[in-house]
Amino acid sequence: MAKDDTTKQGTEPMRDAVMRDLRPMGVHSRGGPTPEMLAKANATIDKMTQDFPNWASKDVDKLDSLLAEVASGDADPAMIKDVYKLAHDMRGQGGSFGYPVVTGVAGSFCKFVNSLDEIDQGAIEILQAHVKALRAVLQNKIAGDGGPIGAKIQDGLDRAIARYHEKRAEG
Amino acid sequence: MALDFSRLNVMIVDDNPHMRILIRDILLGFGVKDVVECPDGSEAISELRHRPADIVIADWMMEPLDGLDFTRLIRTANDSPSRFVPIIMLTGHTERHRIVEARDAGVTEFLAKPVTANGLYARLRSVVENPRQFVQTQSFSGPDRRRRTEDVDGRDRRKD
Repeated sequence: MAKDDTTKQGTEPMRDAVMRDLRPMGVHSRGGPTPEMLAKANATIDKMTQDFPNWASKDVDKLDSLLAEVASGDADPAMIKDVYKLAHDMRGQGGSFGYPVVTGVAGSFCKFVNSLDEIDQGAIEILQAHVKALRAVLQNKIAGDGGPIGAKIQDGLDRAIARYHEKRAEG
Repeated sequence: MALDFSRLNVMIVDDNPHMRILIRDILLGFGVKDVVECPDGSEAISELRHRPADIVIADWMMEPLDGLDFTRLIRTANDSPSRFVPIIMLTGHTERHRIVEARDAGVTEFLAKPVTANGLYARLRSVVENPRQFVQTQSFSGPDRRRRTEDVDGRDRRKD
């Protein structure tokens, strides 16, 4: 907690000192969602899960071309931020749309980018391997936990990353 | 018995159209009838000037104004259009230091990705059933970060 919360200003009495209270605004009753509410909401998620591989594949194409620009060496160094942002979005979307393997692979991509001091050729190859993995997951519609194939994909990426860091450590 | 959200208006701020559609449709499934979508924080602030929202659901990673800066502006700007609005932060960042950072920016609730219907309902429920005191100090402006009421052994700093 911030130290100067204890300043003499303290909690000033404010004209509207409670966060907006929604109860008098027509939000009746209390409690959890009804089965009907959840069924409607889950139907939405199911429908979007079916469409996910189509539009997510376009994001993978974009990720691939951004990486190619970074690999060319002509790209603005800040472009890696765009690459990261795209992968981070995929990380968030995968699980939400029924493809947790996409979340795992994109999460691994983001974690790897965060671990890098510089983007060298070895790093580009690992990032491209992630892109290939994402493409394979979407093309083959490996939804849910991905089963043994999903585990194998993630394991392969983990081992490649470990090898990369070992090589870097050896100099 | 479930909450009746039919008279609430909710703003979704996310630069990803698919996530906006997902959240919008879940909200509609919950009975919310008035949902406004904005692709980034700056547009959301402009929109709030014309049309206040009862709850804002904002993604963390957006450009040019991300969810954290958006929250800070809402909570602290002199001309904030909606200082007290509850903000639910949608995030893939679940590391503790990130959560503390967002809480200190004035976020009301977190919704970690992946988004689920149960998870979203639980955050809406928390916002509705447990409205929190708004705290304004020199260093913080936002919902009271203390969620539990406990006896204070010693000096109550908030009364100093």
